[in-house]
Amino acid sequence: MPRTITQAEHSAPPRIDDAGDAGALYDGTMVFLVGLLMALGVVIVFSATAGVGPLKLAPETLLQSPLRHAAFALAAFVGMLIVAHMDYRALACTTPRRATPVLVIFAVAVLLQAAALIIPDRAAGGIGGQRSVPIPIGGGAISFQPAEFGKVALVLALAGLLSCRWFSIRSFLHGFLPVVLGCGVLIGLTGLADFGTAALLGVMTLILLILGGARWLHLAAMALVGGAAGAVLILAAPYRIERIRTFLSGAADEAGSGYQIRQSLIAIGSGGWWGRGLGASVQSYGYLPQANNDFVFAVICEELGIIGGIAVIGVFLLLLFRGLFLARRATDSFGRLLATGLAVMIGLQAAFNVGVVTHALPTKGISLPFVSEGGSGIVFLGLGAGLLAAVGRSAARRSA
Amino acid sequence: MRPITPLFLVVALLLTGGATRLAYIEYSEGEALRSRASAQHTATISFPALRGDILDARGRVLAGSAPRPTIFVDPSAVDDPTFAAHSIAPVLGLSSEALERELRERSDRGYLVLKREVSDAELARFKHVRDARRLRAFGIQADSQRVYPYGALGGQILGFVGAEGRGAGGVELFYDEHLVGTPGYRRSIVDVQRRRLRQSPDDYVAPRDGATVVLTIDAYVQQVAEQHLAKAVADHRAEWGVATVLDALSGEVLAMANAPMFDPSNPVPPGASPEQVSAALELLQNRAVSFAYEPGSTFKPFIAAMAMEDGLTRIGEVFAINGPRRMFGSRTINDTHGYASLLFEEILSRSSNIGMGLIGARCGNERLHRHVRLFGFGDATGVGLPGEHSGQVNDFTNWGPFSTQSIPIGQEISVTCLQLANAFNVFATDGVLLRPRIVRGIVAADGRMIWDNSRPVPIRRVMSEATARAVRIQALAQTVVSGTGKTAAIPGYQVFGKTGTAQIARPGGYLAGKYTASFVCGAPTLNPRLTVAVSVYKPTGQYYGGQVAAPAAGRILADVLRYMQVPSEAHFDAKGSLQDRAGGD
Repeated sequence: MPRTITQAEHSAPPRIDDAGDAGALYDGTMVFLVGLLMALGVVIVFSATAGVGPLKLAPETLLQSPLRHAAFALAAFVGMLIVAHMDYRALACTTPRRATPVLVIFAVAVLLQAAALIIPDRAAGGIGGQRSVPIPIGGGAISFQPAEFGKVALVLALAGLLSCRWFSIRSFLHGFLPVVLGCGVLIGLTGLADFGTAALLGVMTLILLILGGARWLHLAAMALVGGAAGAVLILAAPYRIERIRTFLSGAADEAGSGYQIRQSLIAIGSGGWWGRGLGASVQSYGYLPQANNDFVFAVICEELGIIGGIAVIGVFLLLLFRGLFLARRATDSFGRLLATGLAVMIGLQAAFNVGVVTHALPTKGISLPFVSEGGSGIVFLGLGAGLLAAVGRSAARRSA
Repeated sequence: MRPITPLFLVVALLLTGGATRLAYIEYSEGEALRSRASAQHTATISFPALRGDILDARGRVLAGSAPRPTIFVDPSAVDDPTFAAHSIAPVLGLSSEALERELRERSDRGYLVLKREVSDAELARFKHVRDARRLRAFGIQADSQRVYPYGALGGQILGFVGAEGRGAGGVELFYDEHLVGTPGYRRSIVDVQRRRLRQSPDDYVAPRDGATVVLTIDAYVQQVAEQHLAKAVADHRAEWGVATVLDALSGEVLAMANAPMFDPSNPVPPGASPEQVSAALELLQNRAVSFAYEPGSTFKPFIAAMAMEDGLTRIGEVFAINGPRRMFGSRTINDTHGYASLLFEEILSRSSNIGMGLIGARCGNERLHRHVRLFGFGDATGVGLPGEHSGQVNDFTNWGPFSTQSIPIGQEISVTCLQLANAFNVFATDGVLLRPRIVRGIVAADGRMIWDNSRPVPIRRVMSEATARAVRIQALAQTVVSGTGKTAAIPGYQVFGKTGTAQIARPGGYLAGKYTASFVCGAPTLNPRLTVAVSVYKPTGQYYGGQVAAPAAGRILADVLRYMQVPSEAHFDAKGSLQDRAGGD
């Protein structure tokens, strides 16, 4: 049946939609949606941080200024465009030898994550652990977040391995176990500092393994082991129990750990349906901790209202379905798995973040993709989005 | 590869759930969250209003307000308590350690007063240090400090201002709502460190200063009255004394003196014991309005004049006294001297109790009661001071046979000094009772007249002009010329008056050997300008009104008449009797 439809399309007049454009190098819609979120993030983060420090446009202070995020977002956008122009299939693991680049990227992610645990975090980037590593540059420091890199690397590696013919995930010893062990190392290292991201990585691993055709028996065994490991991670860090208790008690503890979520709800509520207006947030003046990163969505709701918040969620929904469209249209299973993994990861992360900010989930460190300020994190995410857009290169190019 | 669409639908469902959750938050607690937001985002700074002045009739400032800088701190905005405390404390003469401790302990507070009434030098140094070291948490506000340029002058009239800036006692209390003003405020949106955000306009309301209360009191007259009263009280070692000076034609209270005096700028000594506090509050009492006592013989002119008004007697009528002791029913009335007979006017000038008993008998209780009430006794005068006593006139059902002789000699009744002076003023106004006034008007800070009380307020005509003039000129002037009040005579002016020496009532009788010595008088007799009442409570040694109160009253009259530049009226011959010019007047 799909074939007849394709034939019908061929006889139809050329469409203006560039994704369907015979000469499209990458998916412009995806680039547009991600760019929209990045632009919103630049404006909101500027608004949320402008009140904290003076605005100076000197090179040496740029890294501390509210424009810092704008610089990173610009880098991320450019990075996305560059990756989008490349042929993603260069990363496809068609032979064991061609799997090397993907595996090297994954190994680098693991090493960076391990390094993050060793290097002391003087800048104290995120609460409850080292989510970022400061890299001193000139007068300031760029915080480097290996977990953001790890997310993209994980999806890329799984998509690469699970889509190649020479590798069978259905074999336990030569397929399933090495993959799970590799992912487990990355997830474990990430989870020591950042439980939220580790949970997201775990879910993504599970999803990609299911899609990749892993045996249900193996998956059940993995879920059991992974659940146990998660429980150990929760019990190992007292603040996680505290967060869950805070969540269950309905944010009753005003002064303590419930403060942040209470302030988040105040930010959401104080915007009303239509918001205070862009740049008019008051909660970001020190009331709401992390107003510029994990809780930026609350500031969006304060400035743009519930309507604005729903609109942002709507953009993520569009992005998600555009990802579905690209995955279904992809002719190779690597592209399909890669597009699915990246789009679902972005959608899940957004949903988790909204859930945390609206007090539907316990507080954990999950940022809003493309919008939250997070130093270099947005650059890696932008590279991931570039891969996603690259999968959208048209059939004409693909066959060429 | 397994199908991917269900997975996307699950993720889409999660995102849609987030959107729904947003709408639900707005729907279920949006209002509550908004009120919480405005509560935590808003900081209100109050700007105190200056308390209104109290002026005397000539515009002298009896009570004023001076802005005095108060230095305060917002402890929640202090970044480094150690640095802040060691910077600021030495400048203000405070202990650095104590300030640092306080800043730490109260770090959740938004406002803490460090020092009031800061001197100019301290203020300059404070500003310098604060600005140089960028200590934004410290601020200056102008507080209103009450000053009384004339010290204790008229202290009981003025009252004082309590720690909260509210009037306590006297005019400060009675007109507090006008004096206090309305503080202004600035409501700002602030960040979490309580610093104002530039993005939002402030909601600013300027303070409205309190209104000015203009009194009828003349500070000079008040001073004269206080001096002579204090001397009388001291000379006769009395417990206390009061004096009231009225402007005869307008009913304005020119002075209302108390001895001992009360200092409004130091109402209660610092660190006072409970006894000292209650003594201070006792001192605050303005007894000229708050204390009622038996008027004794000073009451006689009212009864005698009304009997004459009703045609029951006349000037020149001879009364058979047969003193010094006489029975009225079962009641014995005594005179201090034994008179065989007295003219009507001599009954007043010599203060004969028996003569008044005879007049009382002619009137009868019903008429006496009506007459007493006509003069305003038993009613508060409404002068406009707190704690005014209405005096006591027994309900008519409680009057008995004794009342017929008691009332005419000022017993069974109690009056305040102000009531006594004001009733006596009827003789000066040729028969009209005025409402005494102590406030001429209230003027708002912007110059708008809030209350104009500068015109005389007649209450009623009590007696005819003829009766009033006859009693004043032919009977009351004789008190000073040849009767019990000769000590009140002054050069240049003819004084008319009445002495009173009342035993002090206690439940069921009188205190032995304790008296209220009073003199109520006016001058000049032909064209009265002033009415003065002086009462001295529990003098030791001499105790007659003519000895204790009359000299003080005379001196007050002499000084004030000269101050008012009242033309001299020496129209009395050597024997002190009135010349015919009076008749031709």
